[in-house]
Amino acid sequence: MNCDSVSKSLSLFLYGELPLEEEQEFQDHLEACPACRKAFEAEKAMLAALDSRELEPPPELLVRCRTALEAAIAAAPPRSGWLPALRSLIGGGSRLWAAVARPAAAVALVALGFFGARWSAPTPAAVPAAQNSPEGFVTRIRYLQPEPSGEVRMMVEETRQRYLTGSPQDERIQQLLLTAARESSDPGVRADSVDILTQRAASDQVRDALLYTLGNDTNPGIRLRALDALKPYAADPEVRRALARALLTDDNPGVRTQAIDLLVQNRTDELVGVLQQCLQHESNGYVRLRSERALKDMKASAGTF
Amino acid sequence: MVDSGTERVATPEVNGDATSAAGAPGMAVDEAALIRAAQQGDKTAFEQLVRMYDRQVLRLAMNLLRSPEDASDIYQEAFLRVYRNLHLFRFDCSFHTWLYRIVTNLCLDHLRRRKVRREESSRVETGEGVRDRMDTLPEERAAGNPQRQLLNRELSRRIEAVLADLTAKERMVFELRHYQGLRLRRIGEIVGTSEEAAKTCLFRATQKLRVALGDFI
Repeated sequence: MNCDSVSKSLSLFLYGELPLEEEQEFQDHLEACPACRKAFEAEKAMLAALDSRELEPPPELLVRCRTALEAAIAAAPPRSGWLPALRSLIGGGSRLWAAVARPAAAVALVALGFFGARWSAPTPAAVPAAQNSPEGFVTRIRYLQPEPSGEVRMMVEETRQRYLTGSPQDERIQQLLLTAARESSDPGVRADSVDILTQRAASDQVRDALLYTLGNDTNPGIRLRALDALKPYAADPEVRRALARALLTDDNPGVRTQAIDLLVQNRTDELVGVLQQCLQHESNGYVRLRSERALKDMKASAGTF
Repeated sequence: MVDSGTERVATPEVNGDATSAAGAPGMAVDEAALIRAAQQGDKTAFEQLVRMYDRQVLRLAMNLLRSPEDASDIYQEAFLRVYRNLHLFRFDCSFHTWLYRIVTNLCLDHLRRRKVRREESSRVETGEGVRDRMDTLPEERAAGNPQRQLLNRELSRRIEAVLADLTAKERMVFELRHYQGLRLRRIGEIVGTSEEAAKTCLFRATQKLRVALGDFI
């Protein structure tokens, strides 16, 4: 390879898209040519600068999109080939499909003569498969079977909804917040729970929940919130293990950067190994730069031999 | 020793088992079984399928179009097309590739229309309302240094300008490689071109970026 071909291959090399046989020639040339090495470093810096513009959609936006999709699918005409599945739709357990099932279920119930026999609703078409009663019960039909007698047999699922108000210091409220932070399917609820629990991070139980969120939540915005909450405990050995795991395995560069920031607050020998390991796999230029800088500050080598 | 840029992991990858983005990370899901069930009208399967991929789809649209409203429109239209056409999916490519073909086609149309209208937007939605992306860069990068802040702002302005100036296909290939971490071979399958043509697009895009940003970094 000469300077011209190396210059044309800079970005392909950095993206790992250069054929194997050319990679070695590229590296050999770079080691021998200071001008190309300089151009290579500039290309690396440029690609790293581009990382900073990456956007993560806010959790609220995703929730809005999902809700709008549910509504649009509910309004869409049924696809051919899906009608045989009507019965299973009526038993819908998910919000998305409950929305699809509502009009279909209403029509099916009219056909079965259901309302004349069992239910005194004024307008059959307006009765949904799931409805809220004034007492706060949500009723959902899970199973529907027309009987030979003309009657209908069904399984009805009722869930009670109610409001609870209380201080986050209240043990019961805290337990509910811990459950919501781990298990809620709504990222907005998980994010709010983590934010509220931040004030209680001195408790082992809360810290465990925050560590769980950091390691398991699918939303990087929420993982970042958990990291923020863990800041005051960056010296705790268990927190440091979780931070190291985040640095080495999290797929979001923002989370990895934040993990480095917290880890370097306490420069231990173990940290050197973690940063070296990070450099072996890290593809994000900015995170690499932070790791390299931290190792340099600790007077440690970037490579493992 | 020279550090090579390795591929960023973009889940789910095409040839391997899909990894649920909605469930616990790392939990393997039999994607083919999910698709078949959804084709038969299984409600939960279709929803799971949407939730496996919808964060990635929204992220791609958001980063390409730099507008939450436009990204929401793409999300909606893409998954409605999936809903309407899933029965036509024949497993002759991965579901990821099939879905991304739909999404990238919609985004390419949008980018082309926008290029004609010349109304590039770099506004983003934040918890504090709509702001420019430049103002949302981490403070630490320029903390307490007004000159550095000014430089960051100028750098962001230049990046947005040069990205808006790329052809729609160059922009798409660059986005899929740099931000989504997909290999060029896969990108070629998604945008309907060869790996070589995708490589050329990436080369042109980085060349234009170098020309515009080279003296600034």
